[in-house]
Amino acid sequence: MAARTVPHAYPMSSEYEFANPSKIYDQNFGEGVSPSEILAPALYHGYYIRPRLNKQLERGTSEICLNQHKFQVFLDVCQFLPDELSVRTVDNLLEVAGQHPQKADRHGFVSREFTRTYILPLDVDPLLVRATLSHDGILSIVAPRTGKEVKARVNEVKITQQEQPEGKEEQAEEGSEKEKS
Amino acid sequence: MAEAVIRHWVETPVRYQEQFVDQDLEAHKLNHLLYALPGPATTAPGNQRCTTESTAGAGKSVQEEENTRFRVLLDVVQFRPEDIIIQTFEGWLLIKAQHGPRMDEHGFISRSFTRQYKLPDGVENKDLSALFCHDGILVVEMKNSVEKN
Repeated sequence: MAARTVPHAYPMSSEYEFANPSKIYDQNFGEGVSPSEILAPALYHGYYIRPRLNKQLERGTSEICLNQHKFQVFLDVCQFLPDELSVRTVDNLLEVAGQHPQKADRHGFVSREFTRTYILPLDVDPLLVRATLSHDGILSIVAPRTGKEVKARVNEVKITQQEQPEGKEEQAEEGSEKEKS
Repeated sequence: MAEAVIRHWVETPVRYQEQFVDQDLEAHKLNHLLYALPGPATTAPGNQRCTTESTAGAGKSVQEEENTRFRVLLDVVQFRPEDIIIQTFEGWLLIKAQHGPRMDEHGFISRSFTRQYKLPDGVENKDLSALFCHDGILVVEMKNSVEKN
């Protein structure tokens, strides 16, 4: 049973409705809201929702850029310090994790933790993944694509045929039935 | 808070539209009851309309009162109602939200956070009410101030 991923009626972007948006929003979480940041209600898909100032900024995004030569990911991690982040690959999974202890911000004390897992394309070597963190808190992860291993490695398995035991009827097909007869 | 498990997705019909059309939208942006998910804590929309109309005249005094009373707004769009636990502990309000690995458009994501707020003196668990709005805002505020209105 797959958990539903879009729990509320909140518009992310126009392309959010499509199956595979290259950019998704709302990755900053656990944010306080002050009443002055709430804007007048707007109608979205038949529901009134209140746009927020913190959602109007181009922050809190996760973006995947995929072309022939490289696989690149931009993830906004501005809520975390560089030493609170870790990036690792497990097989063909790229895991970005962040954890920060309790600290004070505009609205009070908060501690956060997240793990985001991207799936690397088949032709990306996990050992060549490199991550850089920009000054404004956007993590960029790049890996070159070789284009080589996209071809499936096909291995033909030879079928060995078992000999019919001598003096037995042909109706016996499986081993268990052979034992019984 | 723990026993109130609300399972509710966006299948709600268009709600409260008549309350928005003839009035100023700006005036409604902080009426969180209009955005609350239906559940045991929220009253029927018909009752709410009475309260909104009665407070419309005394708008200014409500505004002044709002400045002093305890109210916390939190953006929890990424979480579901059952992911959130609200506790009070020795004069502190703890809001914990956690969801396990969940699939989204870019892979898998799990998140958790804990927020702490200092409660005003003498405010206890029973004085607080929490409202989970369908546009992803969690409101925790003092109950008796709602009754005054």
